[in-house]
Amino acid sequence: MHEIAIASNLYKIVLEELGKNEPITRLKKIKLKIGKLTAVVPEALKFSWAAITKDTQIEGSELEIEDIPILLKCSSCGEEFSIEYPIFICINCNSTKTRIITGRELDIVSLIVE
Amino acid sequence: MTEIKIIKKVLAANDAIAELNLKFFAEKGILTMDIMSSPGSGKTLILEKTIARLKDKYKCGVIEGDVSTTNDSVRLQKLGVEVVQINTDAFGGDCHLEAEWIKDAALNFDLDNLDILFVENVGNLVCPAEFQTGMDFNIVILSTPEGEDKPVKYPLMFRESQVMIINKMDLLPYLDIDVKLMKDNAKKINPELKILSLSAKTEEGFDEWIEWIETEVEKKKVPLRIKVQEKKSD
Repeated sequence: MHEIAIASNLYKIVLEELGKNEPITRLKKIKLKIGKLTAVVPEALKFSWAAITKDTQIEGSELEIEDIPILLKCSSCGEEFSIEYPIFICINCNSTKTRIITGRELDIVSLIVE
Repeated sequence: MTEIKIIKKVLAANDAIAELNLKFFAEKGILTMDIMSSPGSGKTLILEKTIARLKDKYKCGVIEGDVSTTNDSVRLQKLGVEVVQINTDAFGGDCHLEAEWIKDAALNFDLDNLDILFVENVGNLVCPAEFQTGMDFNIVILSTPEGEDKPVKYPLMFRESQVMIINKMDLLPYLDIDVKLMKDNAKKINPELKILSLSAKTEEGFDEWIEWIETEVEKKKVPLRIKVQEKKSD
């Protein structure tokens, strides 16, 4: 359940950003990008967010999570490909030298406010 | 309705402290390792046997992470090494260690005389992989009874580690386990992964592990020696 720790990191960032953008009446939504290779369960993160923001000024705000697929680039032949299973081997030339292009995101993208 | 663009890593604060930890220990010439595994795979026994072999030659310190109890610290203190316990129940029973706690815990050691710092993370194959602590090496231990498929089930841990130790090799006669398949599964996720097979109980395969640590400790000291020489020649 490290989603609680992630939610509390997120809470700090959100409050800091809101502080820069006054006056805001209500925070509606937080857009996030979460890569498939992170060890984050979106449902657990949403649950943690509700628990952490309860009785605060941003209670009721929602997380909108965009799942980002794992995209690799082969360092040998340059092939770019996405993977469903954790096999980091080039589908074109079988090289084991691949670079992760997307899939490790745990990023906050924007805040939707009223 | 307005959209405020941010684009920021949620764990940026932890990553920044991990980066500082890495630099801090490098300046002190201390080899640092974050030891991770599921509960019961043998982290503490491996540390006990490792420290027993190294302690006459190198000064070792341990940061011990557990949700609760000081059982593992007590075991390691018997070896006469400095141990700092972090019980995460004070932080809400967290399932992992964070970079800042390592930074604070490290201040308890006599850092100018320390050669190796071992961090024994909380037993868990998921959460610690997401939180960098800023050690030189992430070391994942997988014991033979846990099964060949664990790397595939917990890919991030095996991707983020540089060394994998397969422990409990002495149990192979009693298990239907294919160690080659276990290794192949790990290599599919991380082809660069260094894999060592050993038994903490019988110490079979331990020499290679100890030799690897000794090589890495010496590498950490090279930049410091160069600095000292530069000072002398000034």
